[in-house]
Amino acid sequence: MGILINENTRVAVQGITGREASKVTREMLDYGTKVVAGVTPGKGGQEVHGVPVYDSLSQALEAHPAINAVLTYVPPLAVKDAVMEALHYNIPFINIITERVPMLDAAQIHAYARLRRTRIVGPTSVGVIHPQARVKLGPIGGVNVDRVYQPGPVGVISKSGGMTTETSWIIRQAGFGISTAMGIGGDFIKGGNFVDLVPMFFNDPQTEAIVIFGEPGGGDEEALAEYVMQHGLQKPIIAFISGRFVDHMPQGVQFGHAGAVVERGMGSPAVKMAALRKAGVLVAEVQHEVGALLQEVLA
Amino acid sequence: MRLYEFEGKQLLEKAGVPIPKGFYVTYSAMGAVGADPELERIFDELGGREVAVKAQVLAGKRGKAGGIHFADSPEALQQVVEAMVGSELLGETVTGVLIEEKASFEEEYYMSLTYDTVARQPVLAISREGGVDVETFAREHPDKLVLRRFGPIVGLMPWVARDAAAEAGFRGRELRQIAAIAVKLWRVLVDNDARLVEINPLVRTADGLLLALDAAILLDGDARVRHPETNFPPRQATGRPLTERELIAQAIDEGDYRGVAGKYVELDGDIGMLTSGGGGSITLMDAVAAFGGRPANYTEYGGNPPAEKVYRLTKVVATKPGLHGLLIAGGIANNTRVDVTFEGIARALEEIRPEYPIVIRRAGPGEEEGLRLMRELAQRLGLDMEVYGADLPMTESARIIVEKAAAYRQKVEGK
Repeated sequence: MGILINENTRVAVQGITGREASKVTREMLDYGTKVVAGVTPGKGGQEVHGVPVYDSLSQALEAHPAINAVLTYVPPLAVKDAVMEALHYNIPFINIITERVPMLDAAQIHAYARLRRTRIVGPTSVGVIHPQARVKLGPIGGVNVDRVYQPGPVGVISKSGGMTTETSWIIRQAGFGISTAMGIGGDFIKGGNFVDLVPMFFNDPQTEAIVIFGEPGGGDEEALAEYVMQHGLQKPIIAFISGRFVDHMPQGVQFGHAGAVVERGMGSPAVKMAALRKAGVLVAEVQHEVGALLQEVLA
Repeated sequence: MRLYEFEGKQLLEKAGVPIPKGFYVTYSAMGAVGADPELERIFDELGGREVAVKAQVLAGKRGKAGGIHFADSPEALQQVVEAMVGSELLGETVTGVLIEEKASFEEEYYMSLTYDTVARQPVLAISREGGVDVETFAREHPDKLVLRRFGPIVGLMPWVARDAAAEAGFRGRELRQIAAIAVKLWRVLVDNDARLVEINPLVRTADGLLLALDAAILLDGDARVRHPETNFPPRQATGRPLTERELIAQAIDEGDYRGVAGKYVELDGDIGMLTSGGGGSITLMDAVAAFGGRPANYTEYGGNPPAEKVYRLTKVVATKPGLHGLLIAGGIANNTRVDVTFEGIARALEEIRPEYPIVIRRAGPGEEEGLRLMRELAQRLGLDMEVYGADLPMTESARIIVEKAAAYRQKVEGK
């Protein structure tokens, strides 16, 4: 079984008629994902690659009651509305691909998701993939998915979308496959933090080791270190934290993602690496060392 | 986006937070020969008493760096302003000053609202000890800084603010005043989509009023489109003016929303970085540094930009004087077309014909065509270029360029 997605996953894509969403829908269908419906207000009745489009999620659910995952691909300022709609209907998993969602909206989405006990990954997620069941949400893996993503024992959680696939590729070159891989986005406030997701990988029978890709800013990595100190390192975790050079840059310079802003000395890569090491996590100095570390722990 | 103090105070005032009376004076208003009647008028309007002149810079800890002066006559005011405007402070050129009535106060407090990214909730911070370096203070006396998180859907209720004020040690009338200002700060945060609103110090004057003496506001860049009414001019956050190359790069993305290729920060190393993707670019910067190299710039192109944009970025990156190597690298792209972007890079390199070594590592849609294009170019022009696809781990490419750049540096410097 995958984390958050599996062979029973039935997806509705919000904003399916958009250029990127439509392209990614094609990729998902080609890979094997069951995309059963799309939602774009005002475009009900159309089809995108054979997937029926509805004006609202309620109409989509009426026609396809099996929908149990929503992929949010609407413009940034429409994300809050779209996700609140999905939360209203108790969709158990929502994956937000859209970037540049305002922080207030992200905080409100998270607060309401907690009330509704729904899992969210994103905003700024590159998607989630579970190769064993050939199901993926979002652009993760692009057009040549199978080169990188083969079934196996390693879970991947990455703040960077592009580096989700690069990390999985390093794992593949080290001789291992992927249980579930996901890009959680680098935003300061997001639905799925390391500390929300790592326990799911601990409980997943397929996963034997977890690789995380962290970034400067925020306190996600520090919170994970604290969680592991309290609950134990139930499976080996290997981490790479990018952005150490940012420590030598003037404060407030924005590099990469919104979350990668080092404000007020908090969330620096050096602090994160030290906290994770103290908790027993193996921390790679250079990204491709993740492969050798993995060979050590899974030997 | 960080706001200058005078801009932040405008937002506070709009929400009903009391601020000292003051005037912002820009560089363009200066340059008068002899006595400046404008400054005389300002001095009179502020009561004809001692005034504070505050340099408007984005960096913190301005007071300690000499950015605040006082003047007790129009002549002294003019002297101070003339000395301050155009001067360098904390790496920034002071283009304007805020002239304010000098407030006499009895107490200095601290108040801020921001987001706790671990709790994923807004958080109110209140302390009776303001006017200090709050980071250090919070570390040394965590008990004296009250933090209160609250739900972002309901917002900051007055009772929560009162609870926090009481816990911080406020009593009586002041407790209610502090709570009222906290609730107004929440309006500032929500109504302007700010990520941080900080008043340090919030002072109590002799007649018992609370006054925001300073304002630090960080706006959420992702929400600017829903605030057309507050159209603050763009600014650079590096703490220095943009370089010529950075200005040229910035123009690349103007008027063309297909992908991003205009992010460029000039650094003082000798390895040019033409890297793609936010995470990949940062990881490659780290790797170059870890292997002992020094990047000449930071950049990240991505989101599938057209060839023309990447061509222009390559011209900026690869023509910087003093380069000893160029790294063209990125992860396995999910979306960005390698053939299209490399077409732009190849066209620029054909014009530049660099003598320094080049290392390429890239994969993704159109990779075969893209890499073939580069190999052909290298052969045709006799470039010192190594071209790798996915088989080479991305960060290994950093090791190779660092080694090749070191060898090339030795060669050219040995001459």
